[in-house]
Amino acid sequence: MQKLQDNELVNAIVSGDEMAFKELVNTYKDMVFRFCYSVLQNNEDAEDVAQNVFIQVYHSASNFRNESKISTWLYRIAINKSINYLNKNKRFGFLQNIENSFFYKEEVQLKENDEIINESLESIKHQILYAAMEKIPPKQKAAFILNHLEGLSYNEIADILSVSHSAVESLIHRAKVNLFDKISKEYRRKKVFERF
Amino acid sequence: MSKVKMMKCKEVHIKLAKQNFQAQLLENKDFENHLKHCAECRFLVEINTISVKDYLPADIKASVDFYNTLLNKMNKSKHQNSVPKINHHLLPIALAASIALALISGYFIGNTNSFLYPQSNAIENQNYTDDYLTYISNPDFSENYFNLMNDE
Repeated sequence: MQKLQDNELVNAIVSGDEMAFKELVNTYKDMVFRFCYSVLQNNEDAEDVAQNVFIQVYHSASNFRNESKISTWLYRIAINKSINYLNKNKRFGFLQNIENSFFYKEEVQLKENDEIINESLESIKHQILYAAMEKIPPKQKAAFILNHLEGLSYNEIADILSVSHSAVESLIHRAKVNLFDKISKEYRRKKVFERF
Repeated sequence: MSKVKMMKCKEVHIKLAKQNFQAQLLENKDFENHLKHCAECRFLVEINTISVKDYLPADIKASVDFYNTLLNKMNKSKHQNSVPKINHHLLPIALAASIALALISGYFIGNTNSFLYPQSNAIENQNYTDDYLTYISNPDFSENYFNLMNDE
């Protein structure tokens, strides 16, 4: 079967062609999932949100204007869904933190000590980077991921986030500064400098 | 000891942020000096050598049955949407009705006698009123009242 162009694919979905929808999902599922995973840092959540992205695509395909690429549109929906998901979970997050501080404190401390003793420095660096990424604000994180992981240009990101080019620059710069600050804090918390 | 003008960690973070992650170190004496004395920032520069792409597992992909799970989810949401939306609006009304019912039943339970024997209760009240009127219209009432006050 000849591969359909983006706009043909969307038109086919609007007219109720399920094969076209399947083709769209199969073409873009890894891209959407990878992005959701980078933002949410959890496999199940990422899969859930990625599926919600495609459900929205199915229901609002008629709203797609052919001015931008499908990938831009998908990223836009994925960002909104992921940020909403993070904000929704943040409301319950502090209760989880209280619970963790009461019940899992000792376990976590033991684990951290073990990590320092047993794990390689590379692995610790990776963990620190991962933990720091978790703490930067969602919009900055999204812009940073689109730029550094997905390799999109500032103009493309500006289009996805519906902001100006300079706003993207500022978002990414703040993301990096924040990331370095968080990395420093994580670094101090894990006390890796003694090995470094 | 010569005083070396040291950059602050925050300045280092900003300088690093201005570069790309893969960029080489700035050839800057202040920067080098700071790194000599600050293990944290050395670590930060070192962490930049890990490509940010390492942040994600290389083979990160959606699950094999992604499309089937998606279809199930869509069917489920279709089924949920087919439930009349009026139920959604009926919920507050049902809640208000049950509260009103609870209040009304509370009122009647608190007034068991008037609810069960409304007639006898009215007669009883009438009797009390009659007794009271007879009592205060009695000429001995003022005398009794006077005695009562004096006893105290």
